[in-house]
Amino acid sequence: MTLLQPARLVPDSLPNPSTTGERLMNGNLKAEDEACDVDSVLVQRVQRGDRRAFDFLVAKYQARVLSLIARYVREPQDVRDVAQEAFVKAYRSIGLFRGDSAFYTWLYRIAVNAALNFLSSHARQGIARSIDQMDEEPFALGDALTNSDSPETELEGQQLKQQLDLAIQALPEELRQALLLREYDGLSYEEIADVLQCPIGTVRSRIFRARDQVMAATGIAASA
Amino acid sequence: MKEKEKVILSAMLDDEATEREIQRILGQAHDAEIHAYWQRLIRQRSQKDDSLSEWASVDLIGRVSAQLDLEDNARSAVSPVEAVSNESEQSSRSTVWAPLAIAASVMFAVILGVETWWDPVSGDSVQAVASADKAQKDASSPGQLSEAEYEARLQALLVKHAGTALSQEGGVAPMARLTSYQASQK
Repeated sequence: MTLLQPARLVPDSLPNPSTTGERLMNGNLKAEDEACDVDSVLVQRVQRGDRRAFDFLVAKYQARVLSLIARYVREPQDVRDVAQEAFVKAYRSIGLFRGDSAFYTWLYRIAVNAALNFLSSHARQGIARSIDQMDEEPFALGDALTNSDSPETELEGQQLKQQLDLAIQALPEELRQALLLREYDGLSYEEIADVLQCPIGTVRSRIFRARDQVMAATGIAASA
Repeated sequence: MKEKEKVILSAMLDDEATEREIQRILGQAHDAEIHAYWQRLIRQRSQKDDSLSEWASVDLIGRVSAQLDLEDNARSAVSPVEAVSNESEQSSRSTVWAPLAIAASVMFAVILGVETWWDPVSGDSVQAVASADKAQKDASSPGQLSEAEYEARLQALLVKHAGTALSQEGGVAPMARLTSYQASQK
């Protein structure tokens, strides 16, 4: 199935930075209502001892961390254990995070170190790659070491993607446009508002409704 | 959960929420529905990404939270001991060993005293050592204490010293000193 290509929705001229400035000057957006870095707010809350804020960060990055660790560690159960360890380490040392880099960059380093520590402590179990090789080319190892190549997993993944495509295709046009511009073109809400000639609030609402309908159609649950 | 919260969560996913909105969500973070909806949004996004789809359904939140709880509980259970410094650890070891050391010293003293009583030669030698000690003490004594006070203090000091040294694996030398001193009192 071929989805509507998002590129067709995007006009040649996207809004330039001065547009934002003009809108701020005109009072359409208030400075205090500007979008902010969600991770920064969550991290600050965690640093003040809010464990629930950390749950939001775990939920947000767990798939990425698992996928990253799976490039180094073979067994799925070990991948989970190492990822868990990485998040626990991140929580314990989050007081040291000063925001000099993005939160995920910081978390990434912790996860890679956790994976390398795991490998060095389990070297006797005959892990194929040496730690030195991992250090040199951490990104090239993924496909060889994960179990994602199994036909069942591949088929399951294809089916899920197909379901998603179908659900998106079935969305009302205005919702689908907003969602595709966001998810596949990576436009900001403001850019989408300019493309679709509608207020930012409408964009937010459309993207939310699109996602909500897709989740309902595909039966995506909170966790498995 | 109201639709407004869902809209904010959707905007949070895109880094398009304001700080006020995020704080509003975090203010309701005890609500399981909020977390569940956030997870669903994340899963949906992960599933469209080939590299993440395999892990999209794995939930580590419960595991991470459980481990943090476990570690916190373990820490709080151990904390009274952890709070004690090395110095205090030594003193607690001393507390255990001190009575034993004193008992051993006393026993040693009794045995040696009996030997001294039965063996005048060795008793003389012990007395000679004790006399030398006493002379040294007299020389260094400021003279402000009476003889009895001085002896009592010295006795207490030697007993304490023997206990501490024994607890720190200092050997039997302190006990030998104690016994030599006690023998000299005879």
